[in-house]
Formats: sequence, C-alpha cells, structure tokens
Amino acid sequence: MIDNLILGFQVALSWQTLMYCFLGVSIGMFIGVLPGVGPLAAISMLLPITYYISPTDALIMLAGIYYGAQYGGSVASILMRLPGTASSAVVCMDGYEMTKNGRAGAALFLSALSSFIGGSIGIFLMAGFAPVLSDFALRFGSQEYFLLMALGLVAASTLSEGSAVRGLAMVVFGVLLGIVGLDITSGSMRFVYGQFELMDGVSLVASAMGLFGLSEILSNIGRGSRPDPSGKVTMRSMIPTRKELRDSFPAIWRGSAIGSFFGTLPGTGSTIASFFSYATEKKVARNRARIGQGIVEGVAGPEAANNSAAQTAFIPTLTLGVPGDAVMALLLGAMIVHGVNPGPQMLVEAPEMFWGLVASFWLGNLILLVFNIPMIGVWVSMLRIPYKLLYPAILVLVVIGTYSIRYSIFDIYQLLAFGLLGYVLRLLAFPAAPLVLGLVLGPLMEQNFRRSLMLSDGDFSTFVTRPISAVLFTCIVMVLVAQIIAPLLQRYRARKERPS
Amino acid sequence: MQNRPLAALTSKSGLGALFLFACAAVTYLEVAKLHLGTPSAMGPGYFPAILGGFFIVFGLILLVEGWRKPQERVEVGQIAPVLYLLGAIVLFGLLYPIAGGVVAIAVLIVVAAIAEPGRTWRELAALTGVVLVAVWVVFVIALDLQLDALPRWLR
Repeated sequence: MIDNLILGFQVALSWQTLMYCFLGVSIGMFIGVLPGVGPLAAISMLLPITYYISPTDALIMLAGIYYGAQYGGSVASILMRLPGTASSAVVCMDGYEMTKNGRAGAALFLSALSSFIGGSIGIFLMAGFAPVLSDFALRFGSQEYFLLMALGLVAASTLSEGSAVRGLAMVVFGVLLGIVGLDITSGSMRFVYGQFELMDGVSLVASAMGLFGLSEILSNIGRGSRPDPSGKVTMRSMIPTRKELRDSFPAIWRGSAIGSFFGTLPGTGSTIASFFSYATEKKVARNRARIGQGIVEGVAGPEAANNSAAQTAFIPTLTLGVPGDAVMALLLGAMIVHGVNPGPQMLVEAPEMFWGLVASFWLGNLILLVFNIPMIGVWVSMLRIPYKLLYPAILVLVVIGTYSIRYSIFDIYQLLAFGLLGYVLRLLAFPAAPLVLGLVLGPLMEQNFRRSLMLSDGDFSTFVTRPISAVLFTCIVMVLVAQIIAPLLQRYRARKERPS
Repeated sequence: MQNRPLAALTSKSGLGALFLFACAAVTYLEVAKLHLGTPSAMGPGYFPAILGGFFIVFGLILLVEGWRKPQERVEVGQIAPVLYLLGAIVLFGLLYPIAGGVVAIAVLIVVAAIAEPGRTWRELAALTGVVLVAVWVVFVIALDLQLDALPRWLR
C-alpha cells in the first residue's frame, strides 16, 4: 500500500494535476457556499470542459468540486442559516446558534477541522478497502454485475427521499434513455426517430445540465433575494476554546464512523450521514441537553460525517463501477467518456489513476483546510452577489458548455428537452437523480443481462444459483420488501393509535 | 369531490401514472418495430420490452395512490419565468447559426433576465457585457473552443 500511495502522490503532486485539484476544490467550495447551485449542477456544467484535459486531471477536478462543496456548504449554514448544500442543512441548527452567540469564527474553524478529519478517515478507508473489494470483484461474472447494478439502482432510488415507486420509475426511465441509439450487438437503431445525432445515444452532459443545471435555475427563480450575511469574522475569533475542542473530538470520531459507513452504501450519501450523525449527537453528546442552542458537537459531528461519506462514496464507484448517487453516476459517466473503464480492472490497468485520485483527495482536503480559513471573508462577500445577476450567467455557461462538446445545435435542443422534462418531473414529484443513475448504468446493465442469459442458455435461474448472485438477489428482494413493509407498518401504527 | 375517478386521475399521482403509461406506450411502439429474440439470443427489443412492463406496473401503483389521495394536486406555480428561460434557449439555438455568437448570447442573457422582474436596462446592458467578455476569456481564449463571434456570411 505504501508503494501505491507513493505512486499516487507522484501523480497528484505534479504541478499541473495539483492545479486542477486546487481549481476543483475552489470551485466546489464556491458553489458549496452559494445556495441554489449544488455540486450536481456544477459538475454537469464543468463536464464538457474536462473533455479537453487528461482523464486523471479531469476526475481529480470534478471530484474536488464534490468534496469541496461539502466544506463550503457549511459556511452559509453557519453564517446565514441557509444551507449551501443539502448535506449541510443540519449544521444550520447549532452552527447558526453559535453565530448568534458570537462564536461564528469558532464554528467555522471547527467545521473545517471536523471536515478535514472526517475526510481523511474516509480517504484512509478508501485506500485500505478499495484494493480488497476490487480483488473480490474480479471474480464477478455478468450475472453478478447485472445484479450489483440492479441493487445499486434499487437501493439508491428507494432509500433516498420521496416515494420509492417514483424513484424506481425514474430509474427505469433512465435505463431506457441510456439504451437510445445504435444497438451494438444487433446493429439496429432504437428510439432514434430519424435523428442522426441520437445514434450515439442521449448526451450525458445535455441531460445532466438540463435536469440539474437548468431545473435548479427554474426552481430558484422568483424566490426573491437572500438575507445579508451577518457579522464579521476575524482570524482571532476563529480560535476555539480548549473546552470547545475537547467537546468536539468525540463527535468528530462518531461522525466519521457514521459517515464512512453511509457513504459506501448506495443511496445513502452525505445528507443522510449528516442527519444521522446529528441524531446521534442528540443522544450521546456531552452537552446534549443544550443541542440546538449552539453546541460544538452539533457542528463537528455532522460535518465530519458528510465529509467522510463524500470520500467513501468513491469506494463502490471506483472499485465496482457502481455509483451510489447521481454525482457518482456523473463522475462514472465522465470516466467512460474519457475511455476509462471503472470497475475492479481499474486498479490493475490504471493504478496511477486510482492512487493519484486517492492522493489528490487528501491533498484537496488539506488545501480546503488551509485555504478555507483565510478565504472565509471572500466567500462571505460572494454571498452578496444577487441571484438575479447570477442566473443569466449560469444559463450562458450551461448553454455554451452543452454546445461545445461537439459543436452541435441539436445538443442545445436536447438540453432544452431535458430542462422541460426536469420541470415536468418536479411538478409530478418524480426525483431526477435516479434517472441519471439509470442513464449511465443502462447500457452496461443491458449488456450484462444479455451476456448472462447467453451464457446460461436462456435460463433465468442463473441469477440465483451462483453463490454471490444469490446473495445480491436476496439483498434486492430485502430492500424492496422493506419498502413495501415500512409504509404498511406505519399505517398499522397510525390505526392502532387512533382509537385510543 | 363529485367525480372521484376524474379527481383521482388528475391528482399528482394520477397524472404521474398517466405519464408512465405514456412512457410505456412510446416504448412499445418502438419495440413493435424491433426484433425481440429469445432469452439466450436477445434481439434489440427484448430489454426495452421488459422496461415497458415496469412502467405499467409502477403506473398502476401510482393510479391506486391517486385513488386514495385525490386531494393532492399538482401545483404549477409561475409559468412565465419557465417560458422565458426555455424560450431564451430556443432563441439561442435559432440565432447562433444565422447571427453569430455575440448576438445569440446577448439575446440569451436578456430574455433569460426578463424572467425575473425589477431590473433596469442599464443593469441588463452591464450584465450582458460582463458575461460576454467572461465567456470569451474562459471558453475561447483559455479553453480554445471554436465559438463564432460573427455569423459565417459576415466574415
């Protein structure tokens, strides 16, 4: 492992790569601070730009946006009670209270420190577990891959927020969109309708930008202006007291453990991890009696949790090729576009890329910790840019970015169609994230499904008779059954309580 | 409510179900043109045919949900900003080939900006100028993209 890490740092410390890492985490930090632009939208907007740089640098930059946003998200939460990202929503509670108590500086410092420790633990686990997991996954056949992707999709769409049926329907929709175009096996066109441009399939960039970039603007527009960030933060006020530090550390360890666990599971990313950590602190923190009134554990725990989750989320994506959420699906899509095959072979075929990523993650976290603190004044002033000036600029970035991939006006209309689709889906309460997950995995799933049944000579029992696939199949059934039972149980409880 | 089936069908879940049925219809219209094959030698239509079945199953579940909760309606909200933004993109697509990048981007910004009321023409002009310069610096100079400032017939 030491050799691998040395290799990784050699890649990550090259001047150019370090610059992309810095660029990625800075953009991530920035969009994390800004409410209304999430990492999903930012990554889809920057996806076309990465087509011009090397795959390793591209991934390092895009990943930096993701975990950088986890750092930045807490700034607006703490200072303005406005979560920049969903995963930092819980930090609003105690973080903003600390601001009202005049401890904004300490809250920001502790949130950066917890984020760094949580992130580092996540990276450490990634470096340790990824090779083991990928060794194991090398024994997988098509059947296992198909079921693994199915499990990922089912878990991601049902465990996240909202109705399970709607999530699953969107996964199916996404998978279907994923197979649009030329079918390589048979040479026939599917869902192309005479549009020459659709032969290569639906554009990942246009769909992600339409569904996330464009629809975020559509949902944010007309909401009025944001409040001004209150209070000035000086370097001096950032130094936490000895008691604050002592109280934070147990929460950081707990948060990191919770985050690392939830990060690896599909569908439960950093948001669920941070909420779960806050719930834990409510029960076990030393100052639990005062939770919600500005205690450090309420900031340190969730911050450590969402950052460790943001790192461990890369484990299944990179070692199995199965993304757990929409951001990971986009990164996976970016890898495929760059000709990198994510999956267990990646560690063997492109070790410099994998270990370069691991090393750059840690460097990125270090950059975030070191630069975050002096930059806070800048972030706060950025929060003063009114949204009405920001969104036309974002729209231009979205449109030009989509156009620039292959200089095609057709892609602009794809973007438009997906923007409209995103709007309709939101009206009907369908989640868009599972759709992108399905879109990326669709072609791979069909391929493995076909191959499995070809190998078994059309016998469907091949999905349950192999030992690993039997386990995976059972997991899928369990997730689905749990989804059916949970609402029934809820209704039963509600009925039992009513008569009394 | 007077007409329960209609209320159920136009509720949030009911409309969702109709959306999924429409997806199923589109899927099967396409599948009808494709070769199905057998499980051991699947044709291009086999996998989409399965997916279409899922649409119907999920649609039916949503239909039941709509029957149970017909009072959950779709809240459309403000339509005008959405139309402005989408219209801005259509205009960009139409204008870029005939009028060039500068005009197309300027129109995109101005039309999109009208979506949010309460801004002056001076503000708009400044915004357009700043974004245009930024686009050229980032995309054309830094990233070396082929963006045509002027239409072909003017050069």
